[in-house]
Formats: sequence, structure tokens, C-alpha cells
Amino acid sequence: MELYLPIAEISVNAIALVALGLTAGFMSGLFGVGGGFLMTPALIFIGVPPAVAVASQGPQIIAASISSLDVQWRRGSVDVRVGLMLLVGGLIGSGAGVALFGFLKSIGQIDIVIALAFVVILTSMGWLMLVESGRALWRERRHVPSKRRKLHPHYWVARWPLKMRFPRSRLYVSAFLPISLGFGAGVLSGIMGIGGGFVLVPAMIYLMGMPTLMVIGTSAFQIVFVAANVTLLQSWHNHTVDLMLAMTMLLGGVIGGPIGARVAGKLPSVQLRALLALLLVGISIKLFVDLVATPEQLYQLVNTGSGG
Amino acid sequence: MSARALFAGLVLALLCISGVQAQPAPRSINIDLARQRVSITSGFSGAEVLLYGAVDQRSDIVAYVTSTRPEPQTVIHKQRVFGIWVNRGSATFTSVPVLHTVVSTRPLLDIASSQVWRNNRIDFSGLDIQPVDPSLAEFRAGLIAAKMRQGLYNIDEKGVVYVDGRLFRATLHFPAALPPGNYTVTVLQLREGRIIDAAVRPLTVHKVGVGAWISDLALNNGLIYGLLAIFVAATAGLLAGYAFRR
Repeated sequence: MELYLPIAEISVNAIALVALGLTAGFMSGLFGVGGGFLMTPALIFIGVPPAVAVASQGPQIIAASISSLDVQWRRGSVDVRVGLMLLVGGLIGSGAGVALFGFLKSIGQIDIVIALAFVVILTSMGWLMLVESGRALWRERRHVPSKRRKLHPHYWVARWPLKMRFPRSRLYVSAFLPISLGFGAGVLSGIMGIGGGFVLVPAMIYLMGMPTLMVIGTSAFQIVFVAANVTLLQSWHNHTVDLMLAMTMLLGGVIGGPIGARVAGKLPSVQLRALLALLLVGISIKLFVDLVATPEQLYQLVNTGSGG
Repeated sequence: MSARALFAGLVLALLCISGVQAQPAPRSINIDLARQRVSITSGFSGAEVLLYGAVDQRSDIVAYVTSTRPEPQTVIHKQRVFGIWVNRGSATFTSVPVLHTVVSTRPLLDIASSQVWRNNRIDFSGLDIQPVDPSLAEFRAGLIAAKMRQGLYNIDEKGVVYVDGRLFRATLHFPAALPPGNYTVTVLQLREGRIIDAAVRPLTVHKVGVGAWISDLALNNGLIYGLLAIFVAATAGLLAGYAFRR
């Protein structure tokens, strides 16, 4: 069954698209990260123009993170004060990201930048997580007690000015810290079509020293609004959001998410993290090979027009 | 002067007179399309349009479809930089037919000389595609190859078949990548390597249904479109959450 995507102006297999959404939803439920890092490369692989693939992730990310936010909010594990600081940075960052996206699209370099960004982010995050979960697995096996962690680590970021109290997370850190984390995640979501959860969550735990319990809900809070901002700006300025594509993926995503969350409850978290790390490394290797291998076609048409 | 020569002279004179009088000669080719609109629906995966026609006597038929209004097109060239293939160098062409497909009864070069095809802008070598910067002429072949990969440029030299002595038909193929717009179908009748008659039909390609609504809204009301996308996504996410908690 073929489905014509009106903005991408290509037709794709509808069943493949729903299956892809299901997989991404399952992943996001299983690992607690958005499926964007998986969906964007997969869509590009099946022939969706990179600009449309990235911009159409927004609705899927909104849906996945709003249901996560809903659950965490009821449990009282959302630190709104930290969330708002993240959001200040996130809104500015995603605005900058979308503007950069539009500029790169106009000079015909957007595909390369998307691919490179994915390789860099997935490679670094994947290897970091792989090493970290490998160590945790090793400790578990040898019954080495993990070192007691300080309440909040004192890195160089502790010396940043404009310190603020965040009573819910028992933190006293510079306001610039959550703002710059939010900014970074926002830029990534504008260029790569990812929620930024898998960058934001470790940064909030290791750099800010936020309690793990509060991290998921608080990052979901920021991601909902940043993804909404990205969707709005991409629709408004770049006209690259394909509703048909987004809604088909959404259909799979909203079903896959809760299933993944249920499976995740039954698996040990260290193994789960190792699995995610392997997946990230795998995708990054595939993307890197694509960048280095001699392309079949050296000349390509670019659509720099206003679309339509 | 023999009677035969006299007769020949008479015929020649008559021909001259009819030429001077410039009476519209009856068309020797008549054609039509099975439909003049192609609708891009939600299930669109390319289209076929039947072309049929009749000629006064059996001759070679060449039909081509091309976009009525050529559009600018940028072509990029990939080069290796520090081991990575990046888009390096691009050429802009001011007027490129979005689509150009040709069907014929026989291989074009068997029907007429390459000069005929080039002069009438029928085969790819004759298309008036030139880069803004003339030093980038090598991008032209790359552009045509890329268009052929998408199925937007194509030559099918067995595409026109005679049903009987004077009736012919051809199936015009349009790929899924067909952009909406106005196209022109031109059918040429050739004999002994020369074009003796031609007929033209317009063909419109447009989006219909949900797809048309989506792309209209996206292009003309991006802000509302974005708000709608956010609303639908947020509602779907919340509803799915509730549904699965039960």
C-alpha cells in the first residue's frame, strides 16, 4: 500500500512507515529516549528528503514526551523551576537551530550537516554509554560496591555566576548551567529532529548533579515545549513539516511507546543501557560508512525552492 | 510535349495555386488523451495516460511530454574532502523542464537524423538546458542522469504501437516523483525523416484530497499548519497515555 507524502512529494510504503513508527515508539518506551535518533536516519534511508525527515519528527516527539510528562507529573517528579530554565535555553537554541537549518538548506548543505551531526552525537554518546554500562556490568558481576556519589559533583561549572536555588532537586547551581544545557539540546532538535533527551538526561545527571528521579520528567517538560517550538518554526519558515508523514509515524509511535515501557519494566536497567549504547554505535557506524563510501551518483539535484 | 509531361505540369501548377491560396490543409494527424488531468491522491504511486490517434497514412510517430513552463534547478557535485563526501560545487540552470519523456514507433535515429531531434528540442541533447555559468557545462550530463534516475526524463523507442494500419496508441508513463503543474503533450508525424504534421494537447497534474489540503495549508498558512500539527500530536500523545493506563 503506497502512501503519497504531500510535502516530501514522494510515495512510500504506508505499512513500512507505520512499522517504523512502532519501532521508534517501542524504543522510546523501552529506553526513555525519543525515537528521533532512529527515525531521521531511517526516513532518509527510504528516500524522504533529509530536510522533510528532520522537520517532520516534531509531532512524534511531542506525542511521546507529553505522555511521559503526564505520567511523571502525577508522580511529582518534575522540577518546574529547572524545567523553565532549560526551556529558556531550549527556545532560544531551537530558534537558532531552525534558522541554521533554513540557511544550510538554502545553500544545499543540509544533508551533509545532518549526517555529520548524527555521526558525531551518536558516536560520542554511544561509546560513552557503552563504556559506562560495561563498567557497571563488570562491577555487578564482581560485586564491587559502587563508589558513593557526592550529592552534586563539583566540576568547573560550580564556579559559574548567577547561582539559583532549586529546592525540589536540592541543587544550588548557576542558572546558566540549565540554560546552556537547554540551548544545546534545542540546537540539536532544530537541526537533527531529535528531542535531545539522550543528550540532556546524562548531562543533567552528571553535570548538574540532579537526582535521577527528577531527570526524566524534567527533561520531558523541556522537550514537549521545544519540540512544539521546532514544529511551529519549521512549518512557518521552512515549510518542511509533512503532516501525512508525521501522523502515520505518530500512529505507530503512540502504540509502540506503552508496549516498550512495559517491556522496560521487566528488564534490568544496566543491560538496557548497554543495548541502547550498542544500537547508537551501530547506527553511527552505518552513517559514517555512508559518508565515506564513494556515492553511486556524484551529481544530485537539490530542491532549494520554496517547495510546492 | 507528351501527354504525360503535360499532365505532370498541370499537377505542379495546381499544387502551386493551392499553395498560394494557403487553404488550411486537412490535418493528416488527429490525436487525443484518455484524460487531460492527472490527480495526485493519497495513494499516488505514478500514473499512466493513454494517448491514441490516427494518421492519413502509416508513418512514424514521436510523442513527447514536457513541462509547459521550465523551472530553475540547482545541481550539486559531491567531492571527497578529508575522506568525507561533501557537496562541493554547484551549478544553477535557469530553465529546466521538470519532466521530459519521449515515446516513438522506432529508435529516433532510424526515424530521422540527430539534427532533426536536436533542432526541435526533442531528444536530451536538444533540450535547452544551460548553466548560468558556462564553465560548468559538465553539470548538464549530471542533471540529465539525475532526472533519468527519478524517471522524469525518459525515452521509450518502442512506446508507440499501431493498432491497425492508421490507428496508433501509446501509454505515457509518469513516475511517483511527478511534480504538480502544467505539461504539454506533442505528437509528431514523420515520413522520410521529415516532420510533416504535429498535434498538441495540454495535461494538468494536480494534488487532490487530503494531500492537496495539507500542502496548500503548509505553503500558505504555515503558522496555522504548525499549530494544528502541535495540537494533533499533543492530543494523540495524551489520549494514548490514558488508553494504555486503563
